[in-house]
Amino acid sequence: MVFSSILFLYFFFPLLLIVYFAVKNTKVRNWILIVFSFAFYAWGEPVWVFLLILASLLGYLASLYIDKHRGTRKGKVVFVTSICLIIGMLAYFKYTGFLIDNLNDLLGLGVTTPSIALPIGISFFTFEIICYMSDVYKGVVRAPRSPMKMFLYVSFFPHLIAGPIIRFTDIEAQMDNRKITLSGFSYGVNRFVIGLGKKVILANSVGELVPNLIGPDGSDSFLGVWFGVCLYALQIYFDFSGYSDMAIGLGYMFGITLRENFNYPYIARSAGEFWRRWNISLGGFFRDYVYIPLGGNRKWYLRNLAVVWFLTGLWHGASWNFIIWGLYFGVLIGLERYFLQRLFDRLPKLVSHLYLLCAMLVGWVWFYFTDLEQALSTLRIMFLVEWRPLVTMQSFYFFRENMYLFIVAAIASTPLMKWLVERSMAGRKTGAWVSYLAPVYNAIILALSTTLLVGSTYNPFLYFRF
Amino acid sequence: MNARSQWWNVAIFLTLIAALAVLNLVKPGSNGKEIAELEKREMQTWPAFSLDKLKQGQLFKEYDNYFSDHFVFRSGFIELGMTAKSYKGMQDKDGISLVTTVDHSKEDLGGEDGDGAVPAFGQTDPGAGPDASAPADDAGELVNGESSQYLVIKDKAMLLYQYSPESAEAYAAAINHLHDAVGPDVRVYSMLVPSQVEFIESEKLRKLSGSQKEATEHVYGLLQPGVKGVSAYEHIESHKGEYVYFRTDHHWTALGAYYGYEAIAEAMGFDPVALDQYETKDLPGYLGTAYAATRKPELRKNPDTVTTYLPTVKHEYKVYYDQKHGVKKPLVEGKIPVDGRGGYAVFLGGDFAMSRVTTKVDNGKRLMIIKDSYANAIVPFLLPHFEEIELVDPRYFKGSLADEIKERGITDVLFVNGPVVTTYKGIANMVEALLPAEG
Repeated sequence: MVFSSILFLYFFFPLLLIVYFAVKNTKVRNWILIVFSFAFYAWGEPVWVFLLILASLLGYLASLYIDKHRGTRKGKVVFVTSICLIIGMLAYFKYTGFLIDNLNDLLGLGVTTPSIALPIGISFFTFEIICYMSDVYKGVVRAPRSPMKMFLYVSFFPHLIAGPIIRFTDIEAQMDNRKITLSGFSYGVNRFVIGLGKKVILANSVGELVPNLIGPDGSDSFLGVWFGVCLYALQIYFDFSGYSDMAIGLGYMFGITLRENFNYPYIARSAGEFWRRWNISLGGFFRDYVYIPLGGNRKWYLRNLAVVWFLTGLWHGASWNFIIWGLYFGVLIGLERYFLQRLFDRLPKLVSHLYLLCAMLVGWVWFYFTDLEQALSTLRIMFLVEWRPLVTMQSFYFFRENMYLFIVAAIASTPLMKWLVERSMAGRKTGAWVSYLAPVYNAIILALSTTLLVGSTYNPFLYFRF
Repeated sequence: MNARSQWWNVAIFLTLIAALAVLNLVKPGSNGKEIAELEKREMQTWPAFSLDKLKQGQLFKEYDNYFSDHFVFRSGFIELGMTAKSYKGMQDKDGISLVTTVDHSKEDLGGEDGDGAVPAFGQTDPGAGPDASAPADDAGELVNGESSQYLVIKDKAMLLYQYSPESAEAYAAAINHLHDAVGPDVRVYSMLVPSQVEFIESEKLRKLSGSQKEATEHVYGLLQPGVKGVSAYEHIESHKGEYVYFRTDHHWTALGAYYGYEAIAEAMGFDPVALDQYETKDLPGYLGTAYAATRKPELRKNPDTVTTYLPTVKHEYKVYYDQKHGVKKPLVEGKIPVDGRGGYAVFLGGDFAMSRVTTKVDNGKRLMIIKDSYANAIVPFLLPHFEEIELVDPRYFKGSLADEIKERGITDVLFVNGPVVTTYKGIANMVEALLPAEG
């Protein structure tokens, strides 16, 4: 199930609210969240929900053992073995096909590629289990006696299938003792509704246009391609950050604080800064559990940089374009460290803003096309290596008919609104206005999102071409 | 925010959620008729439990569909959503817009394959990426990409046309292949029917589509000597100011089909029956596929009228669902069907694997039409000239065309297709599949 579906909004979510707030006991509430989380997961993956439970149990039992035998050889063996098992599980489901395809191409083996279905969210929950076991191994946390905490940590549905990737320490205290306040719930509502709007109103509408502007069915004009890539950048940002907002908002409503995942990445002024603002929890994972253990920037810097960015790319999908995308950012970050950053510091801010926007858009071209030839062709058009008319009727129509949407989306990707709200809240009179406008604003966004969600179930399609 | 406004914030949010959730439980919508008419499918019924379906994830998907199909105020929400979407950008003062419709049915909301980034991306599965080529689905029904584009001009909406020379070549090759397979005794004709978008007044807007004239000439130029191209294009073109196309549907009208029939008469060498010989019947209030896709109020306010020309020749029309047992049906229905087949289905009742009209003409001429739905409106006009007309739709037909032609003693074969055959290679492949393997 996903949050941006009417079944979630008007069935699962209200049902959970009723059951959850009908009991007072925190322990019972935790179990309610666990059961609903498993149901949430099982809705999309009726079979692999057992994999989720199994992986959580493995993490739980291994951690108990590691905790007891910390610092001994036995503890280390169990730690390394269980980490390998978890990574092996991720690798099996996500990368087997990719590996076999590449071996076939390289060695001409001719092995048929098995079709292995990818369980939802496996990339997220395996990483969380790794976090947890590593933290227990390092002695940052004690392994709890009850499997309940492990289940809740791994499967708590708001972050289960698309992050943020949380740490056990983030929510450990809240599992025993949490207070749900009016202001917390209200903040949760704000975050959830804004996230829903980002996903349904902005990301979905903008995303519909992208295939018409870039790729095999588009690419007919220079400006059209740039417009298409900009729209894709907006789509992917609103899609992902909207999802994180919804997760954080839901967390607040149930009294559990999840870590932030986005901080207006498109206003960054370097690739390094971009990644401190984009999918922060993933960047944090690779920093704390890969980069620093490898030696960080003190030892083998270039190797560590290459490993981390190769893995970051690979994590996003089993395909070369994602690896290129990851390494591309690694190269930019390396260059920034060696000289670019110093250069930008001396130039006007505008230059570094433009640099990042451009670098980010080129990055998304790699991210968008699993077919490398198409990515290259799109880049050739964007940088005038391959000539296209400046603008065509078609791309002009697309621009004109989506102009307001584009402008709203572009503004919404900057902190302008947030800044305005904060400024107004500071004033006494304007503050009161904003306070009372917020509920109305939320109601409108919720209504519009519902409308568009129901609308998207309308499919006047099959048999059309005849 | 102060405590009071926070209270309001939570209260309004929960009230909205609760109101729709409760309404939806006690008074689920019954949208069956609309789903049938506009979406051409049946409303999802309450799924029966089965362990197999559960394991494949199909069961929960059906519950999802059930929930959304029965959602309270569904059609109102859809209408409202379309209106909201029209504020995305600037409206043209001449009522011209491009509407892109996305096939959501192929998107997996659950994003089973889209793990890695965000559920709805679907990007991380190489097969689901936007660059995956568009294959025909299992039933061979359509499928050309994830989106189609409609050009709306005031109260008219039409599909844009994309020319694919390879598809045109494959189509011509399939016809030639059939000609080889049946030998020189059977006369073979091909008629490509242009669509409305070809004849727009404005040159600027016409340029949004490929040239169907070029496509037609290319196909006809590739036909073997002995296979005749039927010049429907020119006949339609000289009447393009008349009501030859529906404004809210992608088909031609019976009047348009009559001009196509004149072209056939010219190619086959018989005299067409004059139009004024026919008794007509008008069926008003038809909103077709182009309306369903765009949902423009301008179209809804001006529905099409389906005019039918009643056959003058005694005939019997039988539909063969299984190619063995015929079921009698009216050739031209007297009312716009309300079961979701759409107004164009008054002609022949829709598309079937095979159907057959027999007449008392007794002239020894037996015609097979290999066709898509564009042929349906022509058939009533052809009755006076053949003692038997067999219609084969390669999208559904299973078997051998050559054997069928031999067994039925077919003397003439006519291909009738709309512009899809020069856009999408799948149709040519379907025809090839019914012919003996080459070489």
